[in-house]
Amino acid sequence: MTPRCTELDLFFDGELDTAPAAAFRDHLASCERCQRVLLGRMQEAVATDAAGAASARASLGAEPPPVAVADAPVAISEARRAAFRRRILVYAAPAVAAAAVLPFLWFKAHTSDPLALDCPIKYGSTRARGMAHVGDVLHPIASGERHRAIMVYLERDLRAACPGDGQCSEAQDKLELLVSLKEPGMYTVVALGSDDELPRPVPGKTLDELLAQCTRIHCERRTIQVED
Amino acid sequence: MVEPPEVSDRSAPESLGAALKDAEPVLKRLAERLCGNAADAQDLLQDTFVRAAGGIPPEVRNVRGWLTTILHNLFIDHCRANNRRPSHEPINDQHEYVTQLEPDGPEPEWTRITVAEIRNATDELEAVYREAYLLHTFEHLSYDDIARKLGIPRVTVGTRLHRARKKLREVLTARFALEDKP
Repeated sequence: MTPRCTELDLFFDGELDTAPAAAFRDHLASCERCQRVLLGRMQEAVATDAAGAASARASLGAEPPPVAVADAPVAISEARRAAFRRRILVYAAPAVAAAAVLPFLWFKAHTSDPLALDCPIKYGSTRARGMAHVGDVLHPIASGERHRAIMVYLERDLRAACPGDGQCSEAQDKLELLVSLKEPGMYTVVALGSDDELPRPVPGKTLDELLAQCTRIHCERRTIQVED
Repeated sequence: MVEPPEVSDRSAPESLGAALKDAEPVLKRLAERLCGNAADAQDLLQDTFVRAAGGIPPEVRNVRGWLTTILHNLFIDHCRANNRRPSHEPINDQHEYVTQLEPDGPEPEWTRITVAEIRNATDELEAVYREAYLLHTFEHLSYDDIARKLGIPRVTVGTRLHRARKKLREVLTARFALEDKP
């Protein structure tokens, strides 16, 4: 165990800056202990993922169905049987792999990606994640889902909405907004996503009222502390 | 002698496609946490799906857990491939120690445990550790956000999270080991 091992939680929780995170990845390449602990953290993260809990539980205890074995001719020699097995390996394995991938590719082509939200600072000197300064310009980008919206709140009050705001632009697969940060405080950016049409933003709606909708539609949230 | 590939219903296209679709959001979040940028995360996710496309092995009882292990192994391979530096690296004296220099206890079988059971197990944590764990794990707050919310230093958030996870592993390992006994 080395001092670098102490960074594992910070790394996995996304709390390391770019350079220390890269150094930790280098460390991870050769540290078996950290590799093992990281796998545990990943399994924990999957287990605490609420959306996946039900399906994970559903697969517990489900016995694998019986293996279907090809009917081999009973009177053939061992040599012919071996040749038969080799042919199955040569032709069946790629066929099974292709058959497994094709539905997924079809699924990807006919369904929308899950909602994602990125909140970089477009103009300004701030580089720390989740931090910004008055005068910086925030550049939230939402992607995925068929219909998207972005709301920016200062504390509990709506400050910008996309669509609806003049600084909002929408491409085929993403929604972008530019927000000039004029006041200090805690900003919350919420991206909403749905396969159905989203309701138009309501100016008087508070952050709590908006988040209450997140039981019905997909939401991604980021907070940014803005200082003078 | 080369054995013929085992073909079972579990590797049938519809079950694998559905399993990948089901696991994609959580795997994508994991990949982004590991890679630190969207492009590498997308590559890692694609590699994971390509590796999984060979079919779900019959002995696999939890597909999400299996896919998570594939993603982990591919990420380690990626780290090894990119590692061009000497193995010894200097550590900043100001470095924040969060994970303690102590061996981790055994991991519970996370793939057997539901989110409700994890929430239930957090009741056995001390209040300060439980609060930090719930805010981070279920409210997705950053260390800075938790520090501000609780009025504590950022490094204390890391320490509390580490202790919360350690205790939680102990509780879950003991609980599920006991349930297994006849």
